[in-house]
Amino acid sequence: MNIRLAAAMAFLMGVIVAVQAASTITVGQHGMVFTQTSASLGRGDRIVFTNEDDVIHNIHIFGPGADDSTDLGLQKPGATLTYRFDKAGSYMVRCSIHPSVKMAVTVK
Amino acid sequence: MVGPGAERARAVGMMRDAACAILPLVLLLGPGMRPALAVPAFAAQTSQPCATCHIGAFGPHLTPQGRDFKLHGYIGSDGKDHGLPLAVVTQTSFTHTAAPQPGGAAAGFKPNDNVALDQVALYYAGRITPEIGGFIELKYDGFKQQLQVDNVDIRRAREGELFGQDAVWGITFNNAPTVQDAWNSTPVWGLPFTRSSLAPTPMAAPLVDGGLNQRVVGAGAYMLWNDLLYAEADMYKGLDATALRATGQVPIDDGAHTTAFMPYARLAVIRDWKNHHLELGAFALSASVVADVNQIFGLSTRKTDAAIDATYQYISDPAKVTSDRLSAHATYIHENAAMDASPAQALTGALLDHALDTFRVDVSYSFAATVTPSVQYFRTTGTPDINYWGTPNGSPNSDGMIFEVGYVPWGKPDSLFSNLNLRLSVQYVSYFSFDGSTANAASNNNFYYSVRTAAKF
Repeated sequence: MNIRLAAAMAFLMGVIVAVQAASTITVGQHGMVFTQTSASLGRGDRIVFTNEDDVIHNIHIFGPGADDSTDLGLQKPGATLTYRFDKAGSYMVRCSIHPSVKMAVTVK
Repeated sequence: MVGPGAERARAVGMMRDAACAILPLVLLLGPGMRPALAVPAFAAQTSQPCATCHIGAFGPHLTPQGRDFKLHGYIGSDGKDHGLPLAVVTQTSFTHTAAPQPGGAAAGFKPNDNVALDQVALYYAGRITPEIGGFIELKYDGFKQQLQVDNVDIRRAREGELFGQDAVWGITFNNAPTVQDAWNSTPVWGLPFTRSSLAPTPMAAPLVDGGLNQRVVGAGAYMLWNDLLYAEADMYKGLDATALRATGQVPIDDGAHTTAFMPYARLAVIRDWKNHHLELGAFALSASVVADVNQIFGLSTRKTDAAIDATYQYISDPAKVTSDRLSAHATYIHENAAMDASPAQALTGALLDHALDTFRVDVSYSFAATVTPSVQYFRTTGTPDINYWGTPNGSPNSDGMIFEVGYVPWGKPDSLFSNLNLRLSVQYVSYFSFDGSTANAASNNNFYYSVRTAAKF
């Protein structure tokens, strides 16, 4: 019985640790650039992209595979878009409208 | 006495004036048209207002985002299908010169105070394929009453890394040296962006300063490395008479003629920090041309142009495309024109070598991407030679200033007409010297009022 209880407790603790390990960071598009040019994340971490400019942006995520891409669509001024990075690897996040808006994301 | 011919000419003139006043509005508001922004097809493709890419919310004065869009091959997109990227731009104007021009300001125009339809231009501007973009301008020139191919720049760009740093490189196909350039301190896109074709202009100008526009075709490769160094090399080929006729250039001996190959090169160092952008560059062109009627017509001349240029921009708030923007440019072009000694040349009595130096500096300040005053000083000096330059005293020297205020009501994120743009401007050109003379230079001073409209099909 004690062994079962200990196992259940260990499982629950693991889940809690895993949930706590996933984090979320916020990256803005401000002045036609991302507020940071790179980020290092763990699997399951999220980035919330904000549009702090007064024009429409886009969030397009390329990677981790050569042919992998996810277009989160257009982002109006003040709007946010969120993406969860589930796979390990290297990503490139871009605005398809403004070529200079880009950041590298590494997921371990 | 006023004869029937004069009456008819006056009636035709009145009809033309009325058409000039009405046509832009018809083109702007007519059914089947979707009015839009600066080169409106670009704006539609990117869902951006004109002010994102253009200082003063109207082309062609580029912001850093406009340069990026161009250097990346005009393919930036919002991902939506906007149909064929076709757009129409019109320009109408009123010109007043300090002194009337005997015989008329141009064929079919009065000696002074002329209303004109300067041009109606049809643009294909945007993506051609997912990786190739550009613009092709087909223009009706209201002065020459001629349909012609105007500026063309088609390019393909790629991104990658070189020496561990980001790089953008591409190839361009175009028809005017510097039309492919992304800085407004080079000739094709330099201030003033528009000027009257009905006011006198100085006779002498270096070849790279507009002398080959639409009279050549060229291809080149360029690279922007680490957002720091820009390098480009092109090779141009002069169009022959058949090609000039086919593209509407009408080779009527009003420009330098050549069918030769001409190398062009460009280098620039750029630096962006906080709200500032700085570019320091150089460009060069060499061509063997048959000089135009203003010089010694029919004699081959090797013209070598070497230039330095600089651009500085200050953007008060990069997060707002309507923030105030200061922009300054400087350009210095030195031209050496060398003729081979020949019996024909000896008969003219002209010197074998002539230098020509052109310098321009301008500053503009855009208030809220709506009102943009600009001022420019320009000066051209050269080797005096009564047997070479087509001026009364043999001097090619001219200098003066240009003052302009532009007003653009739309083209901003919160514009009432988000798909409509219009630019009203008044320009004053004042000469201190003109074609070697200071005595009557001021008689060439002129006011130029213009209305430009932009619409997308």
